[in-house]
Amino acid sequence: MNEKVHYSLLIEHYINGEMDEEQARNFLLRLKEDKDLAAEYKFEQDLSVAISDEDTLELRKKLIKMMQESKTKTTVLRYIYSRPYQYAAAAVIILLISAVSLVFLMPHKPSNERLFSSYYNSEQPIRITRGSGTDLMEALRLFQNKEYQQANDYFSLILQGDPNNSAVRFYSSICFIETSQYDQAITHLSQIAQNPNSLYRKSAEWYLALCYLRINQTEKAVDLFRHIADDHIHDYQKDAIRILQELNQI
Amino acid sequence: MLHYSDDEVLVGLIRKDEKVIRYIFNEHFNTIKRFIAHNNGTHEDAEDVFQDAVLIIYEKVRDKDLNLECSFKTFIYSVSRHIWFQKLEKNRINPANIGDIENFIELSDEMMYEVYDEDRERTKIFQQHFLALGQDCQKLLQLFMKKIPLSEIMKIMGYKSVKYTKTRKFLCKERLKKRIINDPRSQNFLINE
Repeated sequence: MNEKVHYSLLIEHYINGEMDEEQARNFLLRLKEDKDLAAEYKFEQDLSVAISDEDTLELRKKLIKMMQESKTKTTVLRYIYSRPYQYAAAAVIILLISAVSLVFLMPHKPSNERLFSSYYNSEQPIRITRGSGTDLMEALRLFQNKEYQQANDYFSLILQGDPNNSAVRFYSSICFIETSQYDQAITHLSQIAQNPNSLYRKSAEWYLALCYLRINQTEKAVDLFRHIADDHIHDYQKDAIRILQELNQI
Repeated sequence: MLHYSDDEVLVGLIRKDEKVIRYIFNEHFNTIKRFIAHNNGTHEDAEDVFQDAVLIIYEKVRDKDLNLECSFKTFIYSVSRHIWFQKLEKNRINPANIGDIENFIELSDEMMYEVYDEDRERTKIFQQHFLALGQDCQKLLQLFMKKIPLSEIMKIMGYKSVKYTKTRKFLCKERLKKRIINDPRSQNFLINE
């Protein structure tokens, strides 16, 4: 079992009074000797203090909300007031561009979002063979049921104990894509794509490029699609060439 | 905009009345921000100090430990000023050169002792990061801290199994921990432990 999870459970048993006298005594002895366990226990106590004071938590929440609102308002107003003419001109230009795009461009050039949707394949065949823990079984079951958020919680848990498992990292990144958390997906996929020994490297490159496209980092996406298109034995070579054509990059 | 008397402000604060809190923010935050900026602080420092000041005043009113002998305006400025003093001292900057922009009162020794300490700072950082978590994680961790049975938490949160509830709680806690560890303000108390 992941050591951190083990500590967490141990602390929970102790705090909830679920240990008998001897177990509690052993726990306290271990607390003196095991620095990691002690740190975990201290964190749990500090957290308990911080969030059990619901009065101050509620007040702080209101203050933070007001500060954030004020910051947004100030930034927008400062921008408009500092450049009134440029702002008005920019607004007119944006309106014109939007109108022209709607009339002429949309039918011919698909948006990045539409391209992403037409090339992204959510049906991932399960190819994990390494490891057979219950967490992994549960994660895969949830993944196949398309319960991506919950599946990803299990994948994250497994990665904590086995950070080099690129298969799990890959499926976790698919979960992030499915739940529209593209930044996290990019972090995972980049890590796999940089590992020359990973069996998931080529798939990761493809999905990484699609993620960049989805968040409108088109230049990065095109670079990666070109890299894939130049690789004659890449699983996604044909797709990369097609998408580059649609992006008018060939 | 509505105007509140100092008594109304204190009553509204204790009720955590949103209108009154907004009034306090609109009336006083800019002064504190100017004061902090005038004394080598950033906008983020001002937000931090203002939060601390309002919470300290709230706790004092809640615990019936405040006898306001000056205007609320002077008091909140004095508390904020004092907090900033202590932060400067902690960072070995001489607060003797502090520049004031409002009237202030010197706070009593007893009050000064309570205004700012490490526990308060730690709780603030924990709370700020806790509030930045998703609603789901916040609710889950709060239920756990209240020692509500797992099976009940599972039902409240609409999860399918007790095991998943435990896993989710662990991950939420890890997310929170990561945020706190990465906060430069945490380094002081993390190193001290």
